[in-house]
Amino acid sequence: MNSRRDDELNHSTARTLAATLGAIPVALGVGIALTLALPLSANLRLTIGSYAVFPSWIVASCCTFLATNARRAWLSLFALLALSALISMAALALRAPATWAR
Amino acid sequence: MKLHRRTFQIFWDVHAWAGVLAALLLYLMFFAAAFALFHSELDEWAEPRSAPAAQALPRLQPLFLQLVREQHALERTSVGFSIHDTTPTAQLRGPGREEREFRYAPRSQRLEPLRSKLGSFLYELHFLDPIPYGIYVAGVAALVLFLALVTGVLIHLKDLIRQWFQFRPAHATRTWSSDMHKVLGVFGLPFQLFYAWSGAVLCLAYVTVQPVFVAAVFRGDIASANAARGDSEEPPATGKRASELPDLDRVLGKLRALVPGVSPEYVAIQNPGDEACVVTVYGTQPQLAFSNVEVSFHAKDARVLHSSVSSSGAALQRFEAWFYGLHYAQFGGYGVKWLYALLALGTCAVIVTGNLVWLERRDRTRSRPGNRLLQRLTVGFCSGVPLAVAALFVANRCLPAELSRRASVEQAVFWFGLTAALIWPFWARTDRRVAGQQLVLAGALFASALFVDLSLRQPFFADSVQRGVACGLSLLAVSCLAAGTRLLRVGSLQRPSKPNAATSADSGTLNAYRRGRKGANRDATEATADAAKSAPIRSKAPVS
Repeated sequence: MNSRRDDELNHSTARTLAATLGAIPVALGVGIALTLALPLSANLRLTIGSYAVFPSWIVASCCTFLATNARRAWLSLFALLALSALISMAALALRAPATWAR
Repeated sequence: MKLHRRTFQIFWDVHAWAGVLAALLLYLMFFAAAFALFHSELDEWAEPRSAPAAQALPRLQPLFLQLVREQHALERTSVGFSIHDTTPTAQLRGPGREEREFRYAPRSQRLEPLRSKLGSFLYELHFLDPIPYGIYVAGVAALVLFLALVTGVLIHLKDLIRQWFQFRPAHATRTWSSDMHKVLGVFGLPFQLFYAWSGAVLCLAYVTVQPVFVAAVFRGDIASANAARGDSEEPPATGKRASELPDLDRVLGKLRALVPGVSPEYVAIQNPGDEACVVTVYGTQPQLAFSNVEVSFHAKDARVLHSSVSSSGAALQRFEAWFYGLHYAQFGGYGVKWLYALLALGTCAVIVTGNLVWLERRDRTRSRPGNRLLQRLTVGFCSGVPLAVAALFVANRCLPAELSRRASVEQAVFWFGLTAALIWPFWARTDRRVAGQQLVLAGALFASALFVDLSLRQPFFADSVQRGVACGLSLLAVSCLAAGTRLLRVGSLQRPSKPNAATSADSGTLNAYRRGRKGANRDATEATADAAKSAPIRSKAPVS
C-alpha cells in the first residue's frame, strides 16, 4: 500500500529541490516582470512586484511539488523563468523610463 | 472545493514535513513574539531600582553633551536616542562592533548604563538575532511556515468550517491534538499568514529581493532605488572634524514645525563628529493609523536633507507603513497588543499539537529513533522555552543591581535554562512527566518573579507598566501551572492509542483520499465514531 502510494506520489530529492530552491529565481522573475510590465503607475508597480515575490515562491513551490517527476518540474520552472524574463525585456524595450518615486 | 486524490496527498506530505522541520524554531519565535510586543515596557520594568518615569520628555541636547563628555560620542560611528514615553535610552555604536547602551534616570536627570536588556533580548530572540545568522534562519523558517499554512489550508479547504469548531478533548491524544491543531490553526490563520509573509519580508527581502531589484529594475542605480523606496541616502564621512555639535532640540523643533502632530520615536546621529554629520528623526503621527515619518537634517544648520511622510507619500511608502504597522502592532493600543500576544501563544499551541499529530499518526509506539528524538526535542523545547524565559525574569529580579555585565548574566541564565531543559527529556526518558514538571517549574518561577517584584517595589502597582507586567506574569504563571499539572495528572504524550487503523478524523479523511472514492466526509465521520468507541476515556460530547 505504502510503496504504491509512494510510486504514485513520486517524491524525489530532485523535485523537492526544484520546489524549494528552483522556485526562488522564478519568484524573483515574476516579481520583476510585474514591476516592469503591469499597466499601473511606476510606484504602484514596484509595490506589487516587490511584495509579490514571496507569495510567488509559495505558488511556484506548490505547483512544482505537483509535477509528476523532477524533469518536468525543472522544465516548468525554466519555462516560467524564460517567460517572465521575456515579459520583463519586452516591457523594458517598449516602455518609457519610469519615474519610480511617484 | 475538493482536491484531486494525488494533489491532496502531496500537499498533506508537504504540510507535514514543512511543519515538522521548522516547528521548534517557529515555537521559539512565536513564544518570544508575545514578549517582543511589549519590549519597551519590559525594558523599563526590568531596570533595577527604577524610579517613577519623568513627567515630561527631557531635553535631548544635555544628554547628548553628557555622552560627548563622558563616552567620547564624537568618535563613534553613530549615536541613537530611543524615545519611549518620557524615558529616553541612548545607543552608541562603533568603532567596530562595540555597542553601549544607556537609560535616562529621572532621579539624577542623567543617562546611566543600562543594567538589564530583558525586553530587548526577548525582542531580538523573536527573530533569532542572538544566534549567528539567526535573522536569515528566522526568515527561512517564516517562509517554511508560509508554505505549511498554504498547504494546510488547501488540504482542509473542503471542510474548513467544520475544522474551525470541532474539538473533542476527551478523545485519544491523536484526535484531540489534531482537533486543537486545526481549531487554533483556523482561528489564527489570518494572523499566522500575515506574520509568515511579513516575517519573511523583514528577514530576507533586504538580502534577496532588494539587490536583485536594484540590478534588474533600476539597472544598478542605487540612488534611484532609494528614491523610489523613500529611503534617505546618507553622505559618507568626510574625515574633517565638525566645527559645531548637532543641536538635537533644534532639530526636533524644526521637525514639529515641518510635520504637525508628529511623535518622534528615534533620533539617529550618523558620524556625530564629522562635518557630514546627519541627524535623522523617525516617528509617527498618532492621529493617523499606520503612519511613518522619516526626516533627515544636516547637523550643522538643521537644514532638511530628506523627508518621507507616509501619509502623503507614494504607494510604496503608504503600503509599507500599513504592512510594518500591522506586524509591529502600531495601532489599536494595548488591546491589540494583548490580542496579538494571545494569538502568538495560540500559534505555539498549533505548533506543539502539529508535532504531536505527526508522532501519533506516523509512529504511535515511537519505534523509530528519529521520532523518539523529535518527541524529546519537542518536549524539551516546548516546555523548556517557557522555563528559560521564567528563569530570565527571576534572574532579572534577583541579581544584584551593581553586578558587572548584569545584562549578559541574565541572558546566560536564559541559555543555561534552555540547554538544561533540552537535556532533561533525554536524561529522564519519561517525556510526559518531564513536560509537566518543566511547565510546573516555569509557572512557579513566573510566580516567584512576580512576588519578588512586588516585595521590592513600594507602593505596589505604582505605574501602568508594573501593573501590566504583573498581570502578564500572573497569567503566565497560572497557564504554566495549569498545563503542567494537567500533563502530570491525565495527559499522555507517550501512551499509544489502540492500534485501530482509523482512530481519528484525519486518518479517515486521508484513507478516503487514498482509495480515491467519494464521500470522504462520511468516511471521516465513521472513523470519528470508531475513535469515540475506542478512546480510553468515553466522550460525552456528541460525535458529529
